[in-house]
Amino acid sequence: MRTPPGIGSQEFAAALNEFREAVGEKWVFTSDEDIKLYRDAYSPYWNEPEERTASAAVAPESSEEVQAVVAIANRYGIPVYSISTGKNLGYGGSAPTYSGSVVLDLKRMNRIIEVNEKQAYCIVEPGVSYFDMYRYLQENNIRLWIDVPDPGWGSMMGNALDRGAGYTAARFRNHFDAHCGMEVVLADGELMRTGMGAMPGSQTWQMYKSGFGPWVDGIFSQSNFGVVTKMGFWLMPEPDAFLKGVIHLPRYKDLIPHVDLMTSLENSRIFDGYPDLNSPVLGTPSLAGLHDFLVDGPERRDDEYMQLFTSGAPPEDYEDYGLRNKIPFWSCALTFYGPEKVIRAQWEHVQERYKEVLPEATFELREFYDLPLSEEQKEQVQYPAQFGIPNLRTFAIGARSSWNPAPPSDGHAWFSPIIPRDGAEILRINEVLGKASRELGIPMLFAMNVPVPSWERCFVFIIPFMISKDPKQNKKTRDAFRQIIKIAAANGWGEYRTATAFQGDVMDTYSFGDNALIRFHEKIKDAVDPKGILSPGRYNIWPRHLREQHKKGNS
Amino acid sequence: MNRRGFFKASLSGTALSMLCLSAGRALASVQESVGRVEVGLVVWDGRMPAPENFAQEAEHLGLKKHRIDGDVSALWYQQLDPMWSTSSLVVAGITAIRPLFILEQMARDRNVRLALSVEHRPQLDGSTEHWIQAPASEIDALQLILRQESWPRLLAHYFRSGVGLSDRASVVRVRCITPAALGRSLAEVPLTSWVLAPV
Repeated sequence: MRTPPGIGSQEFAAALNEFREAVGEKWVFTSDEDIKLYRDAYSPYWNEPEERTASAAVAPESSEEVQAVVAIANRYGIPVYSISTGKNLGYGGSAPTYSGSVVLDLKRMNRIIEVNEKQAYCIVEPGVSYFDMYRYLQENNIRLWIDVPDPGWGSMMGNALDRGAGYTAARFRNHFDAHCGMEVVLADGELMRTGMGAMPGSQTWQMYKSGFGPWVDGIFSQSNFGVVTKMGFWLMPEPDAFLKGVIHLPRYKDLIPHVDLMTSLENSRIFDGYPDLNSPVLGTPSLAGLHDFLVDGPERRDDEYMQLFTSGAPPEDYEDYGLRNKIPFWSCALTFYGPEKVIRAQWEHVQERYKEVLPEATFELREFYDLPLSEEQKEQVQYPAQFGIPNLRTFAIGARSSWNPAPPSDGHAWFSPIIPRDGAEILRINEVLGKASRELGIPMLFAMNVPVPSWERCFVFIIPFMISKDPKQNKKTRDAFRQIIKIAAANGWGEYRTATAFQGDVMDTYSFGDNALIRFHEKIKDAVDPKGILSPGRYNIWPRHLREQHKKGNS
Repeated sequence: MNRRGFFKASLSGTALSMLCLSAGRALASVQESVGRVEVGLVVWDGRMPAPENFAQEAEHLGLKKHRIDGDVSALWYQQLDPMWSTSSLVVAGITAIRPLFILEQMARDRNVRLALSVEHRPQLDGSTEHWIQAPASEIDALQLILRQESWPRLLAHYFRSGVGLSDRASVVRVRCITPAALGRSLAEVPLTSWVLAPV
């Protein structure tokens, strides 16, 4: 039997027995067959000594059982790594950051505690998936929407705590921002509630976020200061109608005024749905069109285009071809939610503004639906996530299809830098990353990457680095990934989230004031979890006794 | 000689011809009748010919089936999740490799695991290499099937007659080949056949 680092086998056996008493014999997993389920299938260290793996797993069913498990772990000094459903593949999966930790698997805690339709909120446990909540809302005819990430298979709580994003209206797309109140088990086994939940008998736990005094919720996201066992979320009231309008722009440099105008319109709430940008002439698919692209392949082009393509022509060289063949250089789909009269007026206003700024712009009403959707319409919509419908289409990335029978990958790690909402910056990051990827020998999936406007005020780039089962190839990918992190940081672009293997590298780039932020994290860790048992190393927050060995370059 | 011994002894002779003539009966002759678990649903990836052949035969045999095009969203939401929340349904299929990976991950949340899999890898010479990972009791039958040109159709018969999962702890990994009789592999891209079953 494998033991956590520094824990003897007798001691570990005693702790496992206590775990069994706390949660029941069948919910403590120690067999190889069970433990391998907690491997990160996308690990960039797959089958290498550095691959992070668990020693055991424990699956409590309630906050009380979590308290008991954490108290036992604290007494024995056993590191426990909490996961909700462990499905954030590409960002680490369910494998612990500190190899040999016991996985604290919370997926049995799958109760929907409350859905309040009138006040548009819910309270859930960690094991509630987006599919679970969607089914609950549908079956109970509750006219509220969830904002789902892509894919929608994971935990609502887990995704929010990792600060994931979705595709409906702006105020719900930042999943951590959309939460309201949490319950947390602390390292000593104590149970705490945040916000209004700290007041016994409070009537407003999910109605007012910050409570009284310091608002501490943020320190429990992307961290290891406690085990969150309940969270409230604000849900989106189902709108009367949905409209998707597409703006087509013919010229490469149109991107810059387009981003300025799009941002101004979004910040002014003229539209509040997800703006979906792509370049038809360069062949980059829109997010909504990604599945079809991956199934059917790129559009067939003539010899002239293929000559441009094979010659490695820079993006601007495609402009003339696009103009002659009436293929837009850029297309951007804006989505609107609300009463039909209102959203049609908003779309009309958008068109008027674009005609003023970009007279060559053309417009297309792509989708309009009165809501709720019929079952047939749910199958027809271009992108279900924009209707709060969870789906798994994103897994077509790297999947085999009739046009791409042998994709080069068994998984991916996401490189996800945040960049300003600025068209010139999109072009610049493409130049910088394009040059870097050529030098590092890591090809980009698309000739030009377009940003993901998940959140207001910024863009995020989501670029997959392909992971294989070949250690040599993976080493090359890891080295390139680490280089890219540094190159991005040198340009002022920092990742919002990353796989466990790279969290130390990313955190090192947040170094203002002689690493003041990192040192602050460590002070909190030492204060709230002095034995360092909760998810050691998560987001590069190491407990005191492991800090030195995991400094820069060793993470 | 027991039934398995008989099967091994006659693999190159009568059992093969029987298989070609009457797949269902021949399979029955090599499959243990006890401990077989009924397959309640079969899944096929409609993008490729081998799973299409499998589905046609499954239809003929009256198996309940569900088509995917690589995306398993509807399969999960409409079929598997409700079924696995209330019953111990065994599901089998032939798909590309990625959809199985996704289903396997989802299935774990319902205490359902991969019980059997065969990777089908097309070879340049037109043959198909198969890597079977299955309980020891299933290996003979699967090898017999996978050596035939019509292996996708025969797999439908295999699933129709139920899968022996009583010794799931004794999983073994075995390779076998379908010869290049057709001039090209029926599996144009790597595929996988699989069984997901509650623990």
